[in-house]
Amino acid sequence: MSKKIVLFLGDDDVFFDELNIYCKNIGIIEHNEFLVKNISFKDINWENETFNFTFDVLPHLIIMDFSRTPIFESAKAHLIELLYALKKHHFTKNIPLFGIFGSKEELLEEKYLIGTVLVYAQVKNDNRTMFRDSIYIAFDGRIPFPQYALARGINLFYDIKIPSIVSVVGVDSLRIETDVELHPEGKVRAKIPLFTDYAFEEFNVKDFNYFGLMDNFLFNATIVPKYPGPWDDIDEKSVQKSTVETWYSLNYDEFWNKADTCLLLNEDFSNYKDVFKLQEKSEFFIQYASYLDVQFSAIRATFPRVIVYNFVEFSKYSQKDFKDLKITPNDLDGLAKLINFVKITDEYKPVIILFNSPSNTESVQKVFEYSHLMCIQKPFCINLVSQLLQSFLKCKGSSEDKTSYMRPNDTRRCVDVINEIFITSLTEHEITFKTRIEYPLYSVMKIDVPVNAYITLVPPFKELSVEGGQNHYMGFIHSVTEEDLQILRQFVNRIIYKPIEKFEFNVNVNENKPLPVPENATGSNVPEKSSLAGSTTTGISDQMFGGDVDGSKKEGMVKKQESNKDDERFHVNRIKKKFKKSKL
Amino acid sequence: MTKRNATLLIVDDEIDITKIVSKLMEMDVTTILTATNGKDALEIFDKNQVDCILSDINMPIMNGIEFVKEIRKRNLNVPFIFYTGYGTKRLMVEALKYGAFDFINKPELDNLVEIVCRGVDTGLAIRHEKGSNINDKVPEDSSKSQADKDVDKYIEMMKKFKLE
Repeated sequence: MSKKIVLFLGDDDVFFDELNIYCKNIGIIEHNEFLVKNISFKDINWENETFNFTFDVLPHLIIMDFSRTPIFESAKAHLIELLYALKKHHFTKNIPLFGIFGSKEELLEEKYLIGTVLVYAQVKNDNRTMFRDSIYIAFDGRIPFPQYALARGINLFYDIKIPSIVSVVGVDSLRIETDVELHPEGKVRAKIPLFTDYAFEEFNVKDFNYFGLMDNFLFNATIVPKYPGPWDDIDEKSVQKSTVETWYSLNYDEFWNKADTCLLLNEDFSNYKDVFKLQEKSEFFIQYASYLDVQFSAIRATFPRVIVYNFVEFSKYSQKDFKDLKITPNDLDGLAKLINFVKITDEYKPVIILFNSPSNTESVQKVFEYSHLMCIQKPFCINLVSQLLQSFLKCKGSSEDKTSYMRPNDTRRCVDVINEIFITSLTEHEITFKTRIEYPLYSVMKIDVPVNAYITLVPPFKELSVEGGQNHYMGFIHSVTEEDLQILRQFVNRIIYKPIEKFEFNVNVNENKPLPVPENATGSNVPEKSSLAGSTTTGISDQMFGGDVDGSKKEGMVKKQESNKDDERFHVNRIKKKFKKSKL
Repeated sequence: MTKRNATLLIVDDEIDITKIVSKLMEMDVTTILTATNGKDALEIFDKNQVDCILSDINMPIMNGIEFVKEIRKRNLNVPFIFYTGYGTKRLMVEALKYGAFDFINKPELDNLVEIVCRGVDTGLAIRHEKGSNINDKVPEDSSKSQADKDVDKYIEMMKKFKLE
């Protein structure tokens, strides 16, 4: 059985020791299944670092330390670039990335990473919750969870926010990337903080695509704000088109303003830094992808005018690997499929530049019967790509019509898509809710009641009732401090003690003070009111806390750890975001 | 046009074809060798300095694909021009994997001379790069490196695409 590798990237020896101790305590290291490795930032020569170090280690889970140490600060820009590259390559994009931070302030400064590259974030404190959650998410593991006090039957509506990004900005429309499946001709509620007065709350969805253009989202969509017409009433929420036009022209130089799009297909990401540099200076928007999927989503996203294809005769990945991910290797068969797709697409004839070509241009053109094909019988060279792109624009003639892309480090690109959910239960650690919308598992969402926190949708570890076409989800609450947890506990207690009518929380210490647990409290002897958050939660039986959130048949919240060494106790979970199928 | 001091190897199981092509090329290339299958062609290749190969794909004993495979195993990138006929698309794709210089449709012989001459010129350039014949002079163009010349070539190619 191959080892499951947990990789810690950082210099915090104490954290790494705790991680090791935790893994030993739950018996996974002893059984020789897991290998916990540490790569220290100071051991990496970031100027010369390529993508390959993670390939060599091939981790199944990465925990990265974002604490503001001098070493981290000096490596930060490189780290962020590496994370984006990791989330671009098909064979690493599904490795779950967890971030740990020194404080909530530090976490919020990097919040744009949560949901885009990080599936989970936490402030360093008592790290056991994070360890449990990471093993559960990464390995579908049977982990003993503590029994948290449970406020059930909440049954209240709430507007949850789904972190998304703006990739393309314009006056008449925006392009957003999100994990929420939108519908063309439909509407979307979103908070888009391009500038203070950009107060649109709802947009029309113009078109929709199954591809994350810049980040690791599942979809991208063009959304259109509705400006008031000449006869419409104006109030403080109205946004005039002239205001947006002024803002756009004043901020124009802060965007990547690109004349065209180039798709760069390269299995080898070791030159990702050069690609990012090219992105900065080229007049082309560089879509960087490792492979094409069977739907050609990367091409459908922008219909790039130039496709650079780095030919590989024999990939280091197996055919099964490609089949599982529904992607095509960058070999001649892949090229044939690409050209076939281009031929059947109306009014689309990109220039295809093949690097590492085994044969010359004339022969490949003839075989595939495609004239806009250039074969370079040399290894991939980013400088040559740059020169050819410049040459393309000279031949085509430069257009004034540019597309403005928001830079990855522009925090204004971080937006919230807003959807209404029906909260059913809450603990300090989990939230469950119902909705008609299908969300992919491992999507990240935000709540601001009772504290600002993020949640990650996970496969539920207890039965969640499904009825009436609704989906019922469970999410782990994270990105919280110890103070946040205290407020969460107070809130849970509040609901247990006195149900609320609206999902909101006003801190009132006296009203929410937890009642003391009697010293001899055991199992069914413990009165219900003492089953409050903040009291001892371990050792109290399922009768008090377990069971379905709708009060039906009780089931244990804790899955017991199997002691049989022969069982496959932990399944590597490549967290491909996947839709939860609703049960009708 | 100056006759090239080079060797062309024509491989085809149809002797009439080899005769016609030899006739067509005799004004452009000094030495023309022929074979009727890949196996014989390999023996001839190993005994001579061949600058370009024009080969059929479908042949008995050893076909064109197996022949080019053997040549490539010797780490030699001599230009290979393949004859193609009806129903050989799959083999053409296979041929690409081993390095094809061009394809000529049978029985059309249009452009054959031009394509073969280009192949021979490329073969000569490869030979000169390797310096295998010190008596052959390398054409001088000291103003640009080979890398720069390659870039110019690709940029010229880009210009030829009808870009909309």
